Amino acid sequence: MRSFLERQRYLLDYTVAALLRRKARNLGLLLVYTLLVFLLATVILFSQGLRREAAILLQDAPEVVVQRLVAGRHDLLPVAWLDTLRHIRGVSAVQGRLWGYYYDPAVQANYTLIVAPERQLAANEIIVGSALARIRQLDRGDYLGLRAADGQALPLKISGVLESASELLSADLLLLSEAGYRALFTLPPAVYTDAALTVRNPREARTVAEKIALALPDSRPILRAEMLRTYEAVFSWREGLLFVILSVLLLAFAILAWNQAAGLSAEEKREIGILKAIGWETSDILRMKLWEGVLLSLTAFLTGYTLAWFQVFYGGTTWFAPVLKGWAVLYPTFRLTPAVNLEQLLVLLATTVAPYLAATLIPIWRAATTDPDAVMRG
Amino acid sequence: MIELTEVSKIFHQHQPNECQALRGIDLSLESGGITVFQGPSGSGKTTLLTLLGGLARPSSGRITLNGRLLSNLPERFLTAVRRHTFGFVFQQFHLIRGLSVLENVMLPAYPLGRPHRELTAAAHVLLERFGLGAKAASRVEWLSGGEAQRTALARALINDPAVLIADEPTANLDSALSREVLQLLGELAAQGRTIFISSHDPLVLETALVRRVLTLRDGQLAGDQHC
Repeated sequence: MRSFLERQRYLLDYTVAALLRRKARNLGLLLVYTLLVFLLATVILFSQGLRREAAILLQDAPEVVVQRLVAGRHDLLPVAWLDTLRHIRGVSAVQGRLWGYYYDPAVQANYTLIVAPERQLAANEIIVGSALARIRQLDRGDYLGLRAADGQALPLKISGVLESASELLSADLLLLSEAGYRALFTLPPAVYTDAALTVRNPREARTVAEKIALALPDSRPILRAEMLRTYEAVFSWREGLLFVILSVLLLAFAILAWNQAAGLSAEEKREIGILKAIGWETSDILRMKLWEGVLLSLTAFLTGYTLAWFQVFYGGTTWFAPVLKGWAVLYPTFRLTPAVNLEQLLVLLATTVAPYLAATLIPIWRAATTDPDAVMRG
Repeated sequence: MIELTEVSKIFHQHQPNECQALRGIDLSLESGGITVFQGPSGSGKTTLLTLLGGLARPSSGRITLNGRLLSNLPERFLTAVRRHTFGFVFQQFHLIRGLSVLENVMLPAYPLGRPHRELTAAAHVLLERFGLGAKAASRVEWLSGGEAQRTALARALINDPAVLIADEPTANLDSALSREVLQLLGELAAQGRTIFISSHDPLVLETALVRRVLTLRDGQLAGDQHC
């Protein structure tokens, strides 16, 4: 056992010396490798971070949301439905909600409008998301002019700006009063956009949803779990898109690694010949080269992952953040909660280190099987 | 000690550039002293040394070492025999550039996993013996021809082999350095080691402990002179 460990130590010593002797080439390879790990790790860390943020935010979402469907599309919900919903067994509270979108041609962006009764806003008061405030250069006390559905100008006074901690989902948010909302969209008083339900036992949310579907056949109950799944799906789709691009890079890197290993310099081939002539076995050469691969790939992996981690959690927005965050013009600026996921780390390790080792194995094996008498003849 | 029976070596067999380097060599080599293989370039000296040292296998014939058949051993076992029995000094020295003199000397022992302290001490003893103690930390590319040759000698001896094989050891040295190296080889032979040298340098034949001179021509033994 001791002899085995000593042997590994000698091989490792030799490998480190060999790597340092070919600084320029190995540094180039290390840089490309680190960059690749950095890109992949950034995508994984960033999208996982977004998913986690969304899950945290959705914790406060209602257990069930009920919408009315007309011809398969979302329609306004009559106020009488609220009573029907209240009488369904298992429902403890029902709240009619008003929300919608407003396209602002001035900044070519959609705002998300939500009536927030708990804010007790006056009819002409609004609270805006920080990205919206930023892009329109608005502050508390300023006025934002919107154009109502009947063509009338509707000046609304900013009574507050939302905290940027919640900016992921509130960047383009505009909170207003029920009166202000109905005036903007010229809505009659007896309708709501949808209804938010609280159920006594959250585990029975699905059963409650089934009862709602029976009581109101033209309704569409949406569970919180389904909302979470939708976010998951959206982020996964976007993550997948980036992965397709990055997997091409990964393939290119594997080809580069193969080339590097296959194109061993005359000097390296000479060295392998000498080592074999002075008593090293093919397996010793393979082990030494394996150490070289492990050292190189682990250094690249740890450096790339660490850089990505700091960039995602402390470095602000990444270059591809818009792809993952969504289509909105008003991009939120926010900090993700730092975290390390072991499973994620292992997947990344397998997708970056394994292809490198696999790509270099065959060319190295070929070089390691050099005849030991080649040195005498050369 | 080493017996060769009907040994032939053909390179690039069954190819247009096929070349027969050795033809039907029958030879018995005893332990101890210096045996010189001489002959013109292309006569098969180096090929014969590679076969004697287990660096290659013959195309046909048998080679035995102390009664043990070497010629059909798998690579792993042949390497093990080579490590413990033979030390090699190559014509071009073949030291590994970028490593120190000490590291080069220790290299053949790495696969054996000897304790580091013990191995370093053994390497230092050899370097002192060959007058290279002060050069232990120097990189080999900074060495003179004589120093490089002595480093190669120390490397060949690190595993304490019974047989030292030196291929044209004086080919890249001037007369003074050649004499110095030959003197060292003579000392090693005097201590009981078996030394096989290939050379066509007349200086080699002047070495005091040369016991036998074998002449090769066109891959065949053309002379066998006991001194």
